Amino acid sequence: MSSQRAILRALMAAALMLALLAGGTALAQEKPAAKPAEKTAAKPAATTTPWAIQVEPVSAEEGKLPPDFAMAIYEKLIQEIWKTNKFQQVFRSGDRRATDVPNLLILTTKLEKFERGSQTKRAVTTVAGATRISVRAQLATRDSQIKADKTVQGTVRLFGENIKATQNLAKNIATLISQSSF
Amino acid sequence: MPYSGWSGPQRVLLTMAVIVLSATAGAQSSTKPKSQVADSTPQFNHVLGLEDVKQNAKGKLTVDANGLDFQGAASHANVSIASIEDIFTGEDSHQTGGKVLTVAKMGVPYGGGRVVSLLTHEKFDSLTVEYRDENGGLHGAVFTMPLGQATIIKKQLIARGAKTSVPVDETGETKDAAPKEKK
Repeated sequence: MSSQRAILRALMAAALMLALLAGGTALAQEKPAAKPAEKTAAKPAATTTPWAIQVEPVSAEEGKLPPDFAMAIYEKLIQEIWKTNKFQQVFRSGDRRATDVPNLLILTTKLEKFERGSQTKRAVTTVAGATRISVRAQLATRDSQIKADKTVQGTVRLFGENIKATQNLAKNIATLISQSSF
Repeated sequence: MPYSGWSGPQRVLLTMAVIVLSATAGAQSSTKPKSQVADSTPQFNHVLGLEDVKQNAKGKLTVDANGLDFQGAASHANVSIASIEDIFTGEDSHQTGGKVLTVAKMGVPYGGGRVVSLLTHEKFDSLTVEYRDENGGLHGAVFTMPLGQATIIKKQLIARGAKTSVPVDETGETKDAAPKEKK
């Protein structure tokens, strides 16, 4: 009796595993089909917008934002803006090649609030110790025509090191830029 | 049904305890050789900012006549002294053990994982180097390293002629003004 039950259980487990495997392979097969559609959608946007962008580092009052966070925001912003496929060129602050570019947008960010949390506090309490960065992001042309202006936040609430908040912030700014029209 | 001597909840608890203990042991065994190595050659972590080097790549950071040199397992980068605009040091803390221990801690019943979290954190130094490329573009490279190493690297860079807005004082402490982690 007990051996019959054991066989039945083993069979059920095997069936469950097979169902999961089949589901996984079906999902994996569906994924490549979605990719070409994304690519074709991104291409016209890249050709119809001949804009370039220059990213400036975060401006903050002295001592309000640690330099590693400031530089992490700047570097990650450049990476995230590249990923949007919205600009022909992405220039760093001070890049001499940007002076000859006709359609140039300048991204400036000003620190509004920085709160350094603690990864240990987050792990122990799950509700306290969040790291929060709030900046005012402004996208403008050379002649100061503002194309986007919004306060954006980056946080790390539970998992990850404090500096992970910079990645979150950069992603949110890149989303703001990709959603704005110019 | 054979008699095992353990009830259902007891078995669950025992399994969880074994997972946590093995994960903790794994984390310690993976960090121990690092601390032994730290005595001779400290482990540096490239957080971001160096071109052609992966983020969070581990390697060796040295200062020589050519400038700041990062030698990773599969990558290499050099920042010349002349291109360096500023150097900053800082301090932070993080949880050790990586994702394995984080997942294991989540599985510990009765909040035991939180207790483990209290024991598995360590402080580290950060070094931020601002430099310009050949086109004048600003770059920022961020490294993390064992406590006390950032000031040493900064001193070596200044001795080689690198610029900085925050000098290193006699005691070796830098006067970088940055908010410290809340306790």
